Amino acid sequence: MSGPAERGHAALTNGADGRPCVSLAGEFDVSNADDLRRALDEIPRGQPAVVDATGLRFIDSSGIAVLLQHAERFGPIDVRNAPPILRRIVEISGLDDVLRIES
Amino acid sequence: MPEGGRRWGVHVPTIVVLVVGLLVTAVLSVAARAVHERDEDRLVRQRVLAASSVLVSAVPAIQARVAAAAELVEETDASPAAFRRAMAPHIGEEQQFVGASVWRVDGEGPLVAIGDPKLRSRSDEERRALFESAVSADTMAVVALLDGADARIGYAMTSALEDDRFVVYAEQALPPNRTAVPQQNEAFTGLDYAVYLGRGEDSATVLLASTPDLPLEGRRSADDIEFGDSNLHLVMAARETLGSVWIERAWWLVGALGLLLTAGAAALTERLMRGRERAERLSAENARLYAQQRSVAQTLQHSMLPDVLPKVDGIDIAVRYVPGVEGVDVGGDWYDVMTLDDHRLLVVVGDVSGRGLGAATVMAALRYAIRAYAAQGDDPATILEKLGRLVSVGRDGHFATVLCAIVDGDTGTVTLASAGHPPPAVADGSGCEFVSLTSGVPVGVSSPNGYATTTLTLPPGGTLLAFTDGLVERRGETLDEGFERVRRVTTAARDGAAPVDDLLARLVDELMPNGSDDDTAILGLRWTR
Repeated sequence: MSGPAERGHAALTNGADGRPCVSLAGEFDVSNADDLRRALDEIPRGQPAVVDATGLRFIDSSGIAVLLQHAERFGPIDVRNAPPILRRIVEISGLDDVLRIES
Repeated sequence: MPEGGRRWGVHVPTIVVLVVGLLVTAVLSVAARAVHERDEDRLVRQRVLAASSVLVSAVPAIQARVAAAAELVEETDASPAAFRRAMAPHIGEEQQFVGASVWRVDGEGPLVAIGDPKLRSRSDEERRALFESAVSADTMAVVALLDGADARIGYAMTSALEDDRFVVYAEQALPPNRTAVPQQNEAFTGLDYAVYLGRGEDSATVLLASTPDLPLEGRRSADDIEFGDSNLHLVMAARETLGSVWIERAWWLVGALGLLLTAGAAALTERLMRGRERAERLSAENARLYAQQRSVAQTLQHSMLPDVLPKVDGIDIAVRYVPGVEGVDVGGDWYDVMTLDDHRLLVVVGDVSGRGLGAATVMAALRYAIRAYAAQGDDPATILEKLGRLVSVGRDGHFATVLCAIVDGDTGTVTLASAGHPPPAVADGSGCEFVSLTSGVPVGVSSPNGYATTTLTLPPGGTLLAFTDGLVERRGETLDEGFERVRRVTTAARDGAAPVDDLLARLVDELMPNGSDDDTAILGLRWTR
């Protein structure tokens, strides 16, 4: 069960290279997948989507669906600092070409 | 009680607010009124006492003058010259008295007179009675001569010596009609007043009044002042408010304000009540719609999960569906088993992302499509390929992971393909291993790469275990830890003789002792040859 402290947080920031980047932290599930959607929607059109998953602790299929939906519309998402949980989900789900994990 | 807690068209709390507000207003208003009344009564009383002290201070001047004259008359043996000399300066229009005279105690006289004492015209009896009372009173005797236009008040006094033989009598004029000229003394301004000789308010004994309308009415107060052998009775009545007009108006100001506030509070209460009622109605309606939708989704999902599984020789199948405890919406997990021919089965385990009616609908669409493609003879990889045309995560917001397998009961051969689905495990007496397969993207995600077919052969008595991620996914862990748990439980449970259903029961008991966060579907398949 997720407590308030673990609740997911997604915000558009400027990455180290100056590209807009959505930073993820905490846990994402069906209850807050829309927060993730809103943060992704803030990425300026035409810009490639970059997600920094440093603080991500959990993401379920509802959260993955939001990422995939964005990728389906605007192209693959580059994922930085993916924690092992996300790496394994991407590997097992065969999503490597859609959610591109930067090593 | 009418529906919705209303009465006369408004809510009961509104009526309560109204009644309480009116009561409080009434009480405050009455209290303000009482404060004003008490205040005014006190002020009138203060004014009477002030006016009374003015009268009291005037009495000694009269009494002293008359007493001095009486002493003089006695000492000079009623010398007219001495009397005139002493009293003449005090007699006249503008003076203290209008007349003074000296009489014998028995009423004879006057021995000497200055001015025109009205007493002269009185009968001897009347005079004698006055003088007798002067003698016996041992003080100044007072008499009111109120007939006619020139009303007078007379004072009679004997000397303090023994054996007094003479009476000194002086008369004061009262104003015409005994109507007081406007007083300069501020003790009398702003009020009506009347001064009576004696006690009580007998209109026949009024000496002086500021108004002809007697007795005085309204807010009034009275006081008595000792006056010779008689008494002055002073009555005062307020013509107008003596204190602050704001205190006088306070009671209706309080009342008006209270009514206004009460009306406002009642209106606000009514509005809040109606708002709450509306919100409750909407919330109940939402709950009803939600329950309806949920029930539709549940019905749909249940109809997707067959209770009775088809059979072919050589294969035992068991299934479990564990609903998630988190949230109340149904998930999109499913399993399916379909006979392809007398020795082959199609086995499917899938998981649509998200929850609710949307997920259940996608699940139903995929399930029937898989059956249709399988019936056409498509292999698992082709089936998954074709499913991609039905769902798009970009459009629908849902994607699905699907494991699709065709199992041959004669040979133990399993042909399978995965669309992003967790890999199945194969267990036999020697252990448990997850199948190494190349997974394509989940259904609903577009990709130029197709799906790879993996073929394996089950060992005799070996079990293929397929499941959705609810069995292995835990917060704060990678999926590998979940896979490891499944491997451990399955390995520990290896007992070739126990039915495959026992393995599933054990997995559920040990991996989800308190239920699962997420919905979970598990399918176990054993080749029994």
